[in-house]
Amino acid sequence: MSDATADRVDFRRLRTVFAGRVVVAVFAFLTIPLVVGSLDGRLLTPLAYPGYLVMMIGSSVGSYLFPNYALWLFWAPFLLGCYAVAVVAGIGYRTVR
Amino acid sequence: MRRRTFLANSAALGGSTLLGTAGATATTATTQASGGTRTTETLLAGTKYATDVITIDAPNDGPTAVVVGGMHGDEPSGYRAASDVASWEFDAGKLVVLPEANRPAIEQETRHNDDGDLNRKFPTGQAAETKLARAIWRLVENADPDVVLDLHSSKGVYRTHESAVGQAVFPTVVDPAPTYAQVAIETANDTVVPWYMPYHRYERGNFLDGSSPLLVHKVAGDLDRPGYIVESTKFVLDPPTAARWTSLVAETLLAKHGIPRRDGRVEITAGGGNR
Repeated sequence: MSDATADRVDFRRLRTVFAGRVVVAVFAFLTIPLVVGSLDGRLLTPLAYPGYLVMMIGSSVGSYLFPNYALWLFWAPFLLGCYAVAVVAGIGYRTVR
Repeated sequence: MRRRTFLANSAALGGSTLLGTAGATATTATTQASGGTRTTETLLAGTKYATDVITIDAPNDGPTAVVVGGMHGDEPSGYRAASDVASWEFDAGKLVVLPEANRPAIEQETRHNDDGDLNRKFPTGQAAETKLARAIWRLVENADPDVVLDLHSSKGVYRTHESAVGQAVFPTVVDPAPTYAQVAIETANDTVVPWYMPYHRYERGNFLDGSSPLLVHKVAGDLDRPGYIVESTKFVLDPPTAARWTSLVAETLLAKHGIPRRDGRVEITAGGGNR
């Protein structure tokens, strides 16, 4: 196997780990229903529940650690946290599969 | 529906004494319909604080309520909900609604106006501390209310986020406010707060007893009447939805106090009724 082939394989593996279909699907599942519902409450559905739990638990801890921060700032760590969960879910899916 | 509308001078209707204007004429619009009489006047007309006061006289006798919104200009669900209340018809009783109490702060979308935090200008046992606060307190005293509602927004979730007070109902210590607050809380949690938003369930806040210079504290301390502060959060909730939830709490409290809304409950939000 040439070095170029090895590089291409590593790149594909990285892309699968960090931006594979499972990662995108889990990230979208956690974020989109909550973001849409928070912009317009008429669009809230039970699909928002997982993301809601992540947001409430994360922002609860965040506001305890950083009580002077405005709560809207916790949307950024929420998105990062959901992405981390999605990556872990993707790795888990590939491991089980 | 037979409806008659006319404009008149508030002095002609005796409104200027109630509103205590700064020498300016408060325009008054009165609408009479089968649902009773609705009068719109201006508090502190001709000043930078000028704001509407809507008085709704239902067709049947009953208690009197004062409903205030917009004490803080950055709490939109509070003044949206108060505006909702001002648009309703009632079967009995009388409502005096001040939907946008703090117009300068609302226009600037700030908590404070030039005189600071309006809802810290109502010390018990003393005169209210600013021109606007005194006008509001005069409005309350002249209405001689059986109950006072003050509708606000909060930034976080009570007991979940540091220093946050919403979603909560804070009753005065005066009976039956604590009991009715619990009924309104349970009604809101059972009808508009979706099961999948458990942290957003309303809770009962501390009792208001006159120990702080807030409007409803003064209602308890000086008037010994039932009163409530209603707080709905902005967190993961858009202002129109928070306003609908606040409106339902207000509607329930008014109904418990014998001032039932004529045309039924507020619209149930998405996900409501699934509990």
